[in-house]
Parts: sequence; C-alpha cells; structure tokens
Amino acid sequence: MELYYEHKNCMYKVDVEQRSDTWEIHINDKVYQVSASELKDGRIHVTANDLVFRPRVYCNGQNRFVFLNGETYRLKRAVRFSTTHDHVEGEILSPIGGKIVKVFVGEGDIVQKKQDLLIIESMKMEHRVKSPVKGTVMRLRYGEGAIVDTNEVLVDIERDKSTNGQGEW
Amino acid sequence: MFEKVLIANRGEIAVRILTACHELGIRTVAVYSEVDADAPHVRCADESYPLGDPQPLESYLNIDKIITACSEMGVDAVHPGYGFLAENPAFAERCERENITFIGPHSDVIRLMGHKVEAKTSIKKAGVPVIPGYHGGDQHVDALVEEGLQIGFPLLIKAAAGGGGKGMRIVTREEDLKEFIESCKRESGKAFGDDSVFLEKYVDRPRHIEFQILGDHHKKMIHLFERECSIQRRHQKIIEETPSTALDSQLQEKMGEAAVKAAEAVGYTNAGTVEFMVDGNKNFYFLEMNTRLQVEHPVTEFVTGVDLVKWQLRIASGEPLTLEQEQLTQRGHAIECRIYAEDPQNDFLPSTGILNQVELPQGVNIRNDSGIEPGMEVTSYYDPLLAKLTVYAENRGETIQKMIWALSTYVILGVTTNISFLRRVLAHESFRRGDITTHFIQDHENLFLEPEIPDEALIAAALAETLRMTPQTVEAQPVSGVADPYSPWKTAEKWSNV
Repeated sequence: MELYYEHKNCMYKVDVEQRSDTWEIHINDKVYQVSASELKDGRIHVTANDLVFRPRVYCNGQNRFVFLNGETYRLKRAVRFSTTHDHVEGEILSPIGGKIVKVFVGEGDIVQKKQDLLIIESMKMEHRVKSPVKGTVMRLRYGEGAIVDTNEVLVDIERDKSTNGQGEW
Repeated sequence: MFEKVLIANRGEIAVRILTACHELGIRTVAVYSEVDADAPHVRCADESYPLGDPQPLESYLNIDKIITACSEMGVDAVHPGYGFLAENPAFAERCERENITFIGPHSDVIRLMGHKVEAKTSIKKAGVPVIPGYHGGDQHVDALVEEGLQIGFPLLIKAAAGGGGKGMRIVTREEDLKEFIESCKRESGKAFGDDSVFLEKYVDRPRHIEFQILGDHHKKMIHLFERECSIQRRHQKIIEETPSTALDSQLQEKMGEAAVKAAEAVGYTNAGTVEFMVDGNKNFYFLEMNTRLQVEHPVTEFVTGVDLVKWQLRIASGEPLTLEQEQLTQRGHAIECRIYAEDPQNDFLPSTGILNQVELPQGVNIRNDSGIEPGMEVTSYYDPLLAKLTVYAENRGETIQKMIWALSTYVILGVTTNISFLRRVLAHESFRRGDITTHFIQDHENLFLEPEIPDEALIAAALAETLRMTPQTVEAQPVSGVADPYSPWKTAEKWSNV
C-alpha cells in the first residue's frame, strides 16, 4: 500500500507491505522491518530495524498527529503527489475559521503582492489576508459579516502575467 | 466568609478559582455558554447556570445574564477571573448596586485604572514615572492621527479599555497611521465594548516587568515581588518567570515601593498588578495597572508560598491582610508557560479542533492549571489559551531544565499547539543567559525552525492507517482542519490486529 503524507509543504511517500503480524516499510531508499503493539496508555510500541520508539498517533479526517520524543508532528494524508497543492492557483484560502469583518478590495481591482484583501476575526483577534501576488481580483466569494471555515476559498485572483518571476504562490 | 460564589468565567481560570473556593468551604456556581455545557469548569462546580449563545457578548460578557444568574442562584459574591468582565467597571458597579460582592477592587478604581489617561495622571502625581503619549478624550480618528504625528514614530496604539494586547498596533510609517487606528478601534470595540484608543511613545526592546500587589479594606498594602513577562508574541505573554534576571535587590526594592505607592494612590483593594516597562538603562516607567488576577499568578504563588486567589476571597469578605511585607521572601525560581492552541509556524494563528489525547506533565513541583480534557472541542469563540504549565526549582537554571523536560512529556493531539515552540525558546542560549526583551521572539528567527520529520514519525502514521484503519475516505474529504464527521475519539482507541 502506498501512503502519501504532507508535512510542512513537503510530500513523503511511505510504502507499506503487511506480513502476518509484521510490516515492511519503505521510505525513500530505506527499508524497515517493523513490528508493533499497543500499550495500555495508548502509545504504540514500535520496533523498526534497530529503532525502538513509542509514539502516539491521532487521526482526524486527513490530519495525522504524531507525538514522538517530545515533538508533535502534524501531517496531512494525501492521495498522490499531484495533490500537494490541492487548491487551484489563484484561489486565496482562508487561513483560519472566523468572521469576515472587513473587505478592502472589489471585483476587478488590481492588487499588489502583499496587499491586504480582507480581515477575518477569530478568537477576538483580527487576521489580515494578503494577496500572494500582483494581479486582478476576479471574484469575491464572501462579503463582510460572512462566517468562513479554515481553507475555504475567499477570493479568486488572476495573476498579472507581465510580472512573471515575482508572482510565485 | 462567603457561603456561595459565582465564577463569571470559563476554562483554566474558572477551575483555579473554583478549587480555591472549595478549599475554603465555599459553595460554587459555574456559568457556561452552549458550547461549554460539558466543560471541566462546569463539572468542577457545585451548581451551574446556562448563559446560552456562545458569542461572548451574549454569554460571558453579558452583564444582565450574569447578574440574573447571581440572583437566581443566591450567591453572595462573584469572581470575574481575568478577561471578560474582570475589568469592566459597569459590571463591578452593577454588582455593588445589587448587593453582590465583586471580588476585586471598587468600581471607581477599575474605572480610573481603565481610563489610561486618568490612571497615568494619578500615578504620576504619586511620584511614579510614566511614558509620554496621548491619552486624551478626543477619539475622532482625525484628531488621533494629529496627536500621533505629534508624538512621532515608532508609535504604539492601544485599546484604552484593553489588556492582553488585543487591538494593539505599532505604527512605523505615517501612511499606516489612520488605517491602524481604525482597525484598533474595531478590534477593541468587539473585545471590550469600548473602542477608545490611546497613543504612546514606543520604547524599543524594553523588558516587561510587573509587580503583584495585595491590599485589604483596612488600608494595608503589600507587594509580592516581580514577574518578568518579556517573552511575548503578538504583544501577549507566553512565558513568565520570577525572580527577574534584570533586577538587583536595589532596583527590586525601588520598583516594589513604586508599585505600592501607585496602588495606594488610587485606594486599591484586592489583588492587582502594576506593570512597568524597563529600558536598557534600567529606567522604569509605569505602564498600566491590571485590576484583577493575572494569568501568570502561579509563578508568584510558587516562590512566595502565598495563595493569591484565597487572599482575594478573604479580602473581599472583609478579612484583614495578615501577611507582612518584611516577612515575604522569594524562594527558588518559577517559570510559567502558556499552552496555546496556535501555530507558531503560521504567524501564531489560532487552531481549532477536537482534542483527542491530552496528557499533562506530572512530577515534583510541576503545576498544571488546565481547563481541557480529551473529547473537548476548541472553538473559535474564545481565547486559544488551553492550559498553563508552571514549574519550580531551586534556581533559574534548574527551573529551565525542568520546564524543558516537562514540555517534552506534554501531549495534546487534535489541535496545533505552541508546546514545541516554547521548548525551543527555553533551550535558547539567550534565554538561558536571561538576555530577554519583549522582542525576543522577533529577534530570534531560528526559534521557528521545526525539526525535519524523522522516519519514525512517518512509520507511526503509516502504522496507524494499517492497524486501526481510519475511515478510507481520503478522497471524499474536503481539505479542512475543522469538522470531522467521524467522531474521532470513538475510533481513536480501537487498534485492531495488534
């Protein structure tokens, strides 16, 4: 089984082959012979080649939280490499759930890179959503007062093609 | 002493106050909004009262509802905690009128200290140094812009009714001034119900050091030493400690006296905090006075051995303060870390979600002030503070070591937290040296370098898929960190095949 995870904008492929009660796991060029068992406190006791470790894992939707040696890693399960950037270029996603309290731009406006597009209020704080590129506002999906979730498309922006190079997303 | 107290708050601070009441044999009433119906603070209380709509203005900030709760539940007193109505003079006044003891200073003092202009004037008169700025009543945006230009840049815009950094903006360029004033007004209006702002000269790289004070109704006033609160992000503290490495005994004595003088000048009663800014030359300026219990009060409790919340209750009920200034000492060193649901890698944006696994550090001289538990949802309605971790040891170095270790055993899965980030701050060479200012986090970019993901973590994630089998609907799910239709905590413990 091929599994794909996204962590800090990097994709990782993990190839898992299950034998009766052990696993063979391929990550990049490395091969791990793995055995695992659940501990009473909810951790998994894992032996992978010479490594012995006891992580905790929690899955929620596509999110994977792994607590290991004092660090918590937050991964996202993905389908294939091609889905790393699952938003379409030009779609500005909401970084946080909350209420839109101010919209600075209108459809058809030309915006500069880093220009404020709108403000979302969440947990009594204001968060500014800025344009990642220079371009034209093609569509405003919400108005002031709207409640949005994390990762909802807020604004569609068509990148100004004349400024190639600095228009990276 | 009171027979029954209502706690007009939620989360960890409600739990902290509830337990102090129970220790003193006082019955308690918790209030809760719809989303908090099952929260730990509700279960911890003897009785509870629903406030309905989770919007703060309709629940924990709603004076009428809280007062109705007080009279229906027949309480003698109300403890506001911090935030929400804690520094709202209208609320304190309403309590006074309704014969409910407000556990805090008199409404006149809250009003005076809430009006930063008058506060500074009174404090200055008492002989305590203050910072130049505009604290006038003309709140028209154009007038404020004019005043801002007079003071010059960099300039700080603050919510007059505020605290906790809400609404605060630093302006470095003239062209941003108007926009920032407007945005500060909007944010403070929402958070505090008052959109007045004030402007002040911005001191570059100061330390933020505050003094805890206690005053009773019999004209006794003492201080319980300082708290160093310089480690901040978004102008909000995340790590606090005492003693401060910046103070020698002379400066400590001078500032302590100034704090007591400031509090006496306004007729302060109950627990309060006098905040100072200390510049590189050890000049100190009065910043503001917080007329309430502070988030970071546990560090003071550790080194002085004094239970501040119990004293708040005793003082409010009229008992005399029996602690003597000369007898108070600081013993050892204490550090508090605020555990926030937020993402340091993403501009400290708050993170929402359902908490799955929660495991608090345990050990000698480790204190957890927590209002969370597995299965609880962290919503966007309230502050993202989940819990506080406070540790104590013989000296600063050992306290840092203990905190780093304690944080490494702290498990919260389900939302992104700042736990690893806090650990990197404590481990930083400059922090260990005590070389800290309020700009520490901006000044040390390398704090944001997260470790690369090790193969072990990927193996763990992959095992989770093959062992328990999460719902195989990856394709069908929207890319969203928010709602999960699959009741995760139900499936989370089911490991088949092992």
